[in-house]
Amino acid sequence: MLSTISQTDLITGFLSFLFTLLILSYMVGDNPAFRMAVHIFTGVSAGYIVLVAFQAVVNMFAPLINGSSPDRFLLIFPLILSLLLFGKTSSRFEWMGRPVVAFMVGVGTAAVIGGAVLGTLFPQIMAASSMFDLHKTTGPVNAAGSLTAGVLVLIGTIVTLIYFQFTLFGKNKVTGKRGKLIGFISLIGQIFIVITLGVIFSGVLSAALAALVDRINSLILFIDHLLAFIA
Amino acid sequence: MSDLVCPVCGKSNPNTVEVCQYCGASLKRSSAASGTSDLPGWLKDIRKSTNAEPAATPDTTRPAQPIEPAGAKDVPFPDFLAGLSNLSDEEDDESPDWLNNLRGVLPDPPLIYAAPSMPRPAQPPAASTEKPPEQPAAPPAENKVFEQLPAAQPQAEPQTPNTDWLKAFDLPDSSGSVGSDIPDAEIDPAIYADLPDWMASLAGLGGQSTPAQPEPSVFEQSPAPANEPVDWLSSLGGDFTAEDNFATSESSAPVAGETPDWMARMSSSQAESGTVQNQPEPDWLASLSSSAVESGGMPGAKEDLQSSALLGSDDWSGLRGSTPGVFDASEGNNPNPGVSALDETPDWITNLQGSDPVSYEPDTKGGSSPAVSPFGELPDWMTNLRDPAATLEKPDWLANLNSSTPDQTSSANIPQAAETPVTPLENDNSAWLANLGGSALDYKAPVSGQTLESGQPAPFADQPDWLSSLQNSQDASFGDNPKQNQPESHETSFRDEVPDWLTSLQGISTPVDSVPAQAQPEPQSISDWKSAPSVPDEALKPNEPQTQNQPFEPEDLEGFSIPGGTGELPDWLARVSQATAVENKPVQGQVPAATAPKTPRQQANESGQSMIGTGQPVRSEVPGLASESGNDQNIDSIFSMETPDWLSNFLPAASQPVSAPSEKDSTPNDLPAAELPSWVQALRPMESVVEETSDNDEPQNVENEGPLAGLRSVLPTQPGLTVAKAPRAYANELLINETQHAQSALLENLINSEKNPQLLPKRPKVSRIQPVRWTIAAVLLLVVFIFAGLGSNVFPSPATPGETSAVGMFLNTVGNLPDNAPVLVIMDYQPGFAGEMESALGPVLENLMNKKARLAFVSTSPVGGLMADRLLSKFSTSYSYQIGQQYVKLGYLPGGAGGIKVFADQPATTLGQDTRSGNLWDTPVLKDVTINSVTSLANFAAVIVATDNPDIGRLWIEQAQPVLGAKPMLMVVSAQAEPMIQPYFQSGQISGLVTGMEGGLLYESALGKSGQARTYWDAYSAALLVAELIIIIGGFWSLRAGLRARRAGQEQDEV
Repeated sequence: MLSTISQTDLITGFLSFLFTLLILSYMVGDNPAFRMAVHIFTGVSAGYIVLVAFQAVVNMFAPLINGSSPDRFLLIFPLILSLLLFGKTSSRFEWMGRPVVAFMVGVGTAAVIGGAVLGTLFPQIMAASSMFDLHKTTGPVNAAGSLTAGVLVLIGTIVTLIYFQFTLFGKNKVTGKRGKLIGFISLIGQIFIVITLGVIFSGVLSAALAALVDRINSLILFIDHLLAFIA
Repeated sequence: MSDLVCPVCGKSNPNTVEVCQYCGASLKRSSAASGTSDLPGWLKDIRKSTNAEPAATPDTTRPAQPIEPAGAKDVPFPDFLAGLSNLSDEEDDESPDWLNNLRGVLPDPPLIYAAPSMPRPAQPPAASTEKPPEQPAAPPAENKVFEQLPAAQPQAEPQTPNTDWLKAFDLPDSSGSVGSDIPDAEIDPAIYADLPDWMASLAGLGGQSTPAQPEPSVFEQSPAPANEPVDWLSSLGGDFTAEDNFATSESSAPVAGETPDWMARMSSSQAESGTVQNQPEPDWLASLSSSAVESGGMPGAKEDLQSSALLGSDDWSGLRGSTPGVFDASEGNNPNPGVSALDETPDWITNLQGSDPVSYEPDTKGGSSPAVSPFGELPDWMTNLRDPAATLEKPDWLANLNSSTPDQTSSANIPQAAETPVTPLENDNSAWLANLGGSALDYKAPVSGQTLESGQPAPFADQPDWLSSLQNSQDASFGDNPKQNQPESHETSFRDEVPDWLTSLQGISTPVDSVPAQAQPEPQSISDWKSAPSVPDEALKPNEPQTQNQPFEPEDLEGFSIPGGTGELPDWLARVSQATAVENKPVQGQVPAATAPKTPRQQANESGQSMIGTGQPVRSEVPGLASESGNDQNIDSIFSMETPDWLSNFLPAASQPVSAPSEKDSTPNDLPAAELPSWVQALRPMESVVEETSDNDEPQNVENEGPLAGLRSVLPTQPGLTVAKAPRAYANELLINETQHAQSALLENLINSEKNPQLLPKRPKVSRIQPVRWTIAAVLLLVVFIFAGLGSNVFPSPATPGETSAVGMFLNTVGNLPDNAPVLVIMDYQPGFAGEMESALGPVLENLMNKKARLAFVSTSPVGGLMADRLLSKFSTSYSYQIGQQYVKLGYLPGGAGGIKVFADQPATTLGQDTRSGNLWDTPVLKDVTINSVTSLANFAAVIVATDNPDIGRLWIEQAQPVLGAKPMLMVVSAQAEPMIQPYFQSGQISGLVTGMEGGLLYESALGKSGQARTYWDAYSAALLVAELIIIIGGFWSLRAGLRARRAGQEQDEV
């Protein structure tokens, strides 16, 4: 494997090694090496993104050239809306891009909401309620486990929602403090939230450690390749 | 050789003697007394210049006057007049311009006094011998005057103060007219030789033309007090007050005793010598004297004399000196003609006296006088004056003057004009002139005992000689007026203020016709030359009882005007008159007509103001006022110290008191338009306003002085007239209730709190524990390096995933895919998570490649395609996948959720259209995707979403999963996205889930292959372990620090 390392891999491996060290220099604090590496990554990524985005937009209107007539006709409207969107670059013609932006926001919002309701809310509700469906379970253990899981999920969901209940009623309005029950539930909700955040943090930490390992492994690989190249 | 006049007896003594031969008085001292010590500076200068020259140089060209004694020429002049007499001869050409001009414009005497048939003045014999046909062959005016004197006004004598000098002037005229013992032939015409032409003409013509009319002698009527000497002369004479003079006159003391020594000496020497000195005297004086003598016989001579006396002239002493001569000749009763007048007059005046008989003779005799002055020796201009033909060249106003004089003598107004009192002569008397008058009185004493007793000196001290001559001639015209027996006190006031020379001029030029029937008041401050003609008619009325002490009333001056108006006057004189008129206008209005006028002195006494500034010291010399204000006379004498006559005469006109004009007098006809500045006129209130304000009850004060004169209520009379009201009391406290007060306090506190800066709580300082950070980093790096570098398998792989696990289900799903099935792989993860994602996705792709699945890569991230290439490159060696053959990159899918939605619904129309490679949907990789020309995601065998972002995974689940239908959606996610994606797996929305390094290792383990996941697994596991340890250690460290802080706080609270 080392013998197959080309010079290109060596150069890219060197650059990877170099920029990895520059980024790791942040351990001692903000320094020009770190900022330089960040700027380089930002610039390269931006340039690459522009090219990819332009290629993707241009390719989107490719049917106007090689497409069928219906495809060409259908692309007229996106083309007009795209041209009107350029009006946002000028204050004088800014009004021209407003409908296009409104259209995109509307479509995107509708898509998100529809997707959230249909893709997340209802399925999650169904999944949560299914835990209490003992018929779908096979065996009492699974049923108990499913029910327990379901109860915990339910409790966790309720207490988490109650934690975010900040409205006070009755005499609590005078004191400005939650009642003991709501306070206790909120506390349980905080625990569920903390556990969730801990799980998320552990995933982030594991992802970071995986990245660190990848980078250290890359360094080690570069050094290995370098040594092999030298040898 | 000049004789010395005895200061005691007034007789002339030889120059060689030191003691008077008559009275034994010392002459040295008197001579010294008449020296230069008391003389004005200008006279001293003249004397010096004269002494340098032979003062006693006889004038050979001048014939000796008959009346003069033989030794008259040798009699030296008085010291100061001697210089004048010499200079008059030598410096005749140096006469001032105004005098020269005046000569040219002087009224022609022939026109005044003489008939048209009057001979030329150049022919003195003919002129003197001829008598105007219209003039009656009456005795001379002076003669008649003196005849009427006792009966005319005997009772007014003690009351009317008269100036001795004027009386002395009149007496000779009167005496000459009554019965002069001096023959006409005695008048030596030679005296006219040195006179100025014009003066000579005046003398000659006056004697010719003026008819002798009976004229009441004022000198006899009045006590003729010589108590008002000219200031400077008074000063020379010591404290010579009017009161003293008056007393002197009443006591019939010798006038010489009251006169200055020098004058007394002069008079005495002349009297004793009994001769008229032939000293070189000015021609004009000589001619003047002759004219005076001549005019003495004329009807208007007396009046002229009076008018001139009214004007208070001083400088006509020469004429007056000549007048006694006339008086001596005419009186005839003078027991001592040589002593009477001539003894007290200077020599040169005595010479003039010698000319009086000459001029008088034709008057008395009604024929021409053979002893008329030799006109051949007169100057040309004087000759012209004498020449009737020369009158054609006279100015109009002079002609009018001349013509008016005969008219007045013949008109019915003459009596009114004759009413002009003669009393003002007392006012301006000078001491020496008074002595002269006294000498005349002495001479006249036998004629009029009263007059002699009064001993009043002649008052003509303030008048120039030449003007006096004019007056004399004018008096001749007035002599016709029988009503001249008026008391003289009425006119003393204004005559005092009249400049001499101008007064004389006015005396000549003032026609009697212009005198209104009823005299109107004229302000006393009127200028001299204008005031002179304004002789009140009432004062001129004869036999009108008037109080002696009655001051002059300005109303008497009104109605007098210069004939012909100012237009006929010379320019300079017209200007003067105009200026004077302007000055007099408001003054006229000052004196209310209804009220009795007050003299300036009275006004001054009332107002407490000094008369110094008013320039009216002469008024204090009014004999009538002497008894009332004796102290004032003393003050006046003090003020008059060393003041020449001509200068003192200017004083009244220069500073006239301004009083508020009365509305009655300030009629438009009387007053000219005021020359107030425009701004002052603008300030003047309108009449309507004035009337309105006058109706008010408020007192209105009339401004008396300044530009606001005449305005009413311009300035507040009192500073605090406006009603001062106490300011209304307002409560300082607001009427508010408790609530409002609390709210205002709250607002005030709120505002004040805004002003106070509030300190922000200190930001807790986070101490960087660099060693700890470095230690953690070093530990992690060391662990990773160690485990990655060594490539150890210390940490075992996790157990085979269960079938129901996420990875198990994923394996089953992928395992269930048919071979060469199109699989859509969505590469939505970032390069930073490439190591983890590649560790998880790598085994999946390897599994798919094992099944020869046709891979279509699409990404919502621009770098998705790049990540796909990188991952494929790792398996390029194991699997020969070519782009377009085994896999395609549909590209970047923009639009987020919408793009995903669109792509899920219409994947062929959204992506896959490449300009270079054409429609990707038509490629062999995707040939199975489009079924029945319908391209759908559901046509893919499986959709694998590889993402490190749970949101991106959620979108794909939400947007694409419903579209997939039964087709499985698998997800390869990062460990950080697993908690968010796990519910979707639990819900069954996704068919399998591979999460991070662990999932990849499980997947590899399930496949039985050692892949990248395993490579990194030890390092990852060690790092994760270290991290967990550090977190635990850190947790304990933080707990311990918190406990310490709390404990420290409790201790501080306890302390």
